[in-house]
Amino acid sequence: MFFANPQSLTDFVKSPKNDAKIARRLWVCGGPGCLAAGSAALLTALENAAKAAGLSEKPELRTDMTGCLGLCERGPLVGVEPEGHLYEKVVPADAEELIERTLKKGELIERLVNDPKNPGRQEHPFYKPQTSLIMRRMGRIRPDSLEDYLSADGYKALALALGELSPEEVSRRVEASGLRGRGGGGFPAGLKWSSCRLAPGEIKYVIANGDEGDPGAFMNRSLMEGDPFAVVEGLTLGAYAVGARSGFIYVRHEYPLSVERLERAIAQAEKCGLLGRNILGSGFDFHLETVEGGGAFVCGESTALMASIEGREGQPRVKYVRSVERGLWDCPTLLQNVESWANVPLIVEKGPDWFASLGAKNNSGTKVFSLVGQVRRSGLAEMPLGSPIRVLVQDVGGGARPGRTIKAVQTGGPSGGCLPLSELDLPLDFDHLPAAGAIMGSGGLIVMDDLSCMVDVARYFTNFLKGESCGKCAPCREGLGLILRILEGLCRGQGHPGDGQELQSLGRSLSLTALCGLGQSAANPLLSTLRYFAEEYQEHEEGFCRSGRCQGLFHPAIDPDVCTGCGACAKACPSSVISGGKKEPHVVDLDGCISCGACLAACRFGAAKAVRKK
Amino acid sequence: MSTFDEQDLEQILRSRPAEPRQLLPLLQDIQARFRHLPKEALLATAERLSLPPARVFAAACFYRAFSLTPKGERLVAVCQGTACHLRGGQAVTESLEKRLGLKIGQTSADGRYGLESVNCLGACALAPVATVDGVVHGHLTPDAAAELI
Amino acid sequence: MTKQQFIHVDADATVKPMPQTSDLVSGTIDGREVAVPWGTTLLEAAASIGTVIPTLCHHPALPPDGNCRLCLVEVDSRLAASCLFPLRRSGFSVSTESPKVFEARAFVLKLLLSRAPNDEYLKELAVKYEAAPDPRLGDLADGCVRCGRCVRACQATGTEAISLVGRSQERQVTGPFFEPPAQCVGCLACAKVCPTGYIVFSEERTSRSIWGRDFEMVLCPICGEPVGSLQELARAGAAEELCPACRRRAMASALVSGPGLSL
Repeated sequence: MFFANPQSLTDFVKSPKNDAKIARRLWVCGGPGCLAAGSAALLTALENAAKAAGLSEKPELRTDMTGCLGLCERGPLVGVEPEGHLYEKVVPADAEELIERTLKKGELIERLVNDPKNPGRQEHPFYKPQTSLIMRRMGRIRPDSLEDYLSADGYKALALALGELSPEEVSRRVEASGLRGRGGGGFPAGLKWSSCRLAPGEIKYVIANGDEGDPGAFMNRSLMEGDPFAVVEGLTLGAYAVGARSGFIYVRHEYPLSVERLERAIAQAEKCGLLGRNILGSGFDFHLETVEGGGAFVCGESTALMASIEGREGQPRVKYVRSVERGLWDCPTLLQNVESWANVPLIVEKGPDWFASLGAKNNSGTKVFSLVGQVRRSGLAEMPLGSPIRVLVQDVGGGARPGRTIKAVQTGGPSGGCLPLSELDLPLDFDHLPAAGAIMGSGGLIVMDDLSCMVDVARYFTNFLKGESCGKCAPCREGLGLILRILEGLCRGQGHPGDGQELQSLGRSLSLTALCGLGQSAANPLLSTLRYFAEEYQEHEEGFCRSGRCQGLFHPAIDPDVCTGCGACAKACPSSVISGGKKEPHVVDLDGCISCGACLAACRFGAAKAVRKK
Repeated sequence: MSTFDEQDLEQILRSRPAEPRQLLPLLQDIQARFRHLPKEALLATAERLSLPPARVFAAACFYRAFSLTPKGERLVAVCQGTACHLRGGQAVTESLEKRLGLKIGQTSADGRYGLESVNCLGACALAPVATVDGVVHGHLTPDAAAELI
Repeated sequence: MTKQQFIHVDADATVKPMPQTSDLVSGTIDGREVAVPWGTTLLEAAASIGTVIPTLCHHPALPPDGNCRLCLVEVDSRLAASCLFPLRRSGFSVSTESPKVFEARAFVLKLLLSRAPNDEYLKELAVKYEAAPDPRLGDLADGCVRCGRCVRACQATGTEAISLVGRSQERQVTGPFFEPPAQCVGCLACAKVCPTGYIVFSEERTSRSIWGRDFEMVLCPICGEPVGSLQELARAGAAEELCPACRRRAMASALVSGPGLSL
């Protein structure tokens, strides 16, 4: 397989292939969540069962691993093609039945689907509100197969660009699409493209930022592992547009599989004339390589990332002169998030107007969100920009867990903000979130229920950011430490009247004075919780935690009118101080209670509550 | 396995071009081979890349992937991601610390166990999670975590 | 992490060709008109009209770093580090003492003072900006403000024996492996540029000590005064080892008695 010109690529896609004969396929999810839940072992079990059933000689019936299917909460997942059914929580013990009944005969195994009446993935409440663009190849291709990628419209955009479009036109399409950077603040991508294209310089670079450091976010990982060619193709288009001949994909240290998949994709593309010298016979050369990060959150900041590629400490620099003018090794550099790059082939192929028609005003396209935390259905969900938070949390995520109520939604990773219930109708886009004190970030969405203490949440994020502060500028280095000490005091019951007010002022000053984006946004968790949950700070100053999270700052009490006597709290209590008869309201003996909150977390009916200490 | 082998080091150093930008990749290779960055290896790397030892040392200290002392043979890593934190990760951490007699970041005196934290494993649906030698264990309770060892 | 949610002041919304560096740009600083060559830093522009902006990590002989944040000023209603901010467009309006600047400096001073509570320069500024060290950070008061002037000076001499190591509050200046730096030549450049006197050294006629290392001094063969450390002179490739005063005298007398001099 070698493509000497754009036409040969088109011809190849049109030519009949073995895949066309595939009658049915079981797609095992290879996303991070399902892999952690054991989907690799499941695939082995399925393959063994298929072999035992004599299917190894039948290429029309296959089992394969694909990219992330999204619904991590119910993993390991198996998609059935062509029926489109989705099996949940499949274990190796189910393998034989899957092969015999489903793969061979096309039967539905009812116990493995969410709703036997609507067994299709498209009808599943988790998927119904979603729009699948970036994730569209998940469940349709093997991530490490260039042929699969080609058969799913892959490299159509590059063939078009190198065959018919000038670099200016490729750049213009991205500009006109209104694409905004998917990694953070939503900087207009087109502005970067045109600036970098016009910047003087013989040597230019393109970089994909895959240093996804936000805890609770894994959309970039899923993309790099599930559809690596899309990232590679996007970068190739970018290099063509701005005139770069070298590019890098900077991958988070914790993602060895991403590096492996990307490198395999790069090697295949090189072999087939889609990377390297004289791509598709056009005379355009582009060399691409991966760089493994060293485990530093700050390297998600673009200037720190470039310092890291250069082989130095990941220290940000002041960005008065932008990277498109002076970036990697002081050369003009176009740096974008992995998801931004994955959007590029779509925009180039289908046109900017089509792309701009998706999403909301000034916020075109979709965004992949990682929906996690205290919600029924965790997972990756792709939504048009501008979708209300509520749809994601309630419809896609299924709302709060039994016995709980949702208190806040935190968006944008550690430097994002916590929004209260009253803001749940806010559209998820690059303009509305900042106005409410949150950010889009890379698309993390963390649901918090009434068991989450908002002071503790601020302390958690501040602690994280302090540990990741590079220590270059004084405000972030020393200021975060000071803020953390005050928050820790509050969570230990050693707060003082006025702490909240002081934190407000420290947080504001930190945002004003820090050197880089990390420091400037590091106070967001603090400031947003102060803005929307001031009463919890006040209570902590007085030594009370209403959420039952901060140990020792509350007494547990069981509401006899709500308690069903299920005994879950008594079972969970490490000090065995909860008693009560079967189906009788239970009581806590405070003598011996250590205020750990285990009973609150165990109660599925919301009967166990935190009350002020007497 | 963690003993310092000069031939291995030489092989690692020769495997990449002597350019400053190879500093991180080289340190990653050395860390993978020796489970830490021995002083001799850092000095040899500095020499190979013609970099001041001060700069090599700063990079070695800056990135979390590197360790100046040998990591434990069996690595227990507790996820400190947001989802894990919200779903009781702290109690899991405390339980593991108690079971191993180690604090996060420490290695047992005999070098057998190391306890680490990791920012997020992307397995948020299984929160709280921990890994033992890279294998993910999900939906942990403090008791279940202690039994992992 | 999230990137670029703060688009800095210089994020032009249009793409323009690079102006010639000889072009002048003009604007106002605290209401006073100023015109400077394209790319001049704000700090330099302010100095050119006699406006003093407090600095700490800045040193005229070293590349600017912008880490201490003391020199923040308000440019078109946003804060920018004046030691680094290049003036590249006319029409700028800078305020070096606005309420926002005052708040920023007070905050930064509080943090810097917590590290170096006895520094006279910081104490003086603290009076003006009503700042005091924070008692909750008392355990961190080691006298070093982590401005990195020492490291940049060491880099500038080509030695790079020391570096800032570690993250966050653990960041500190040290030799490799927290040991006396083998590459140090004892030139004292680091100590001379240290704004708080944190880097200690001792100096006698025949020897010098810094960073836990001792250096033998080369003495001027004429007057016997110390010229520099052995390693320092070797590094500089100094051919003769006269002290500056004797060298001047030697040159002057060579000029006077030399054959080439004609009046």
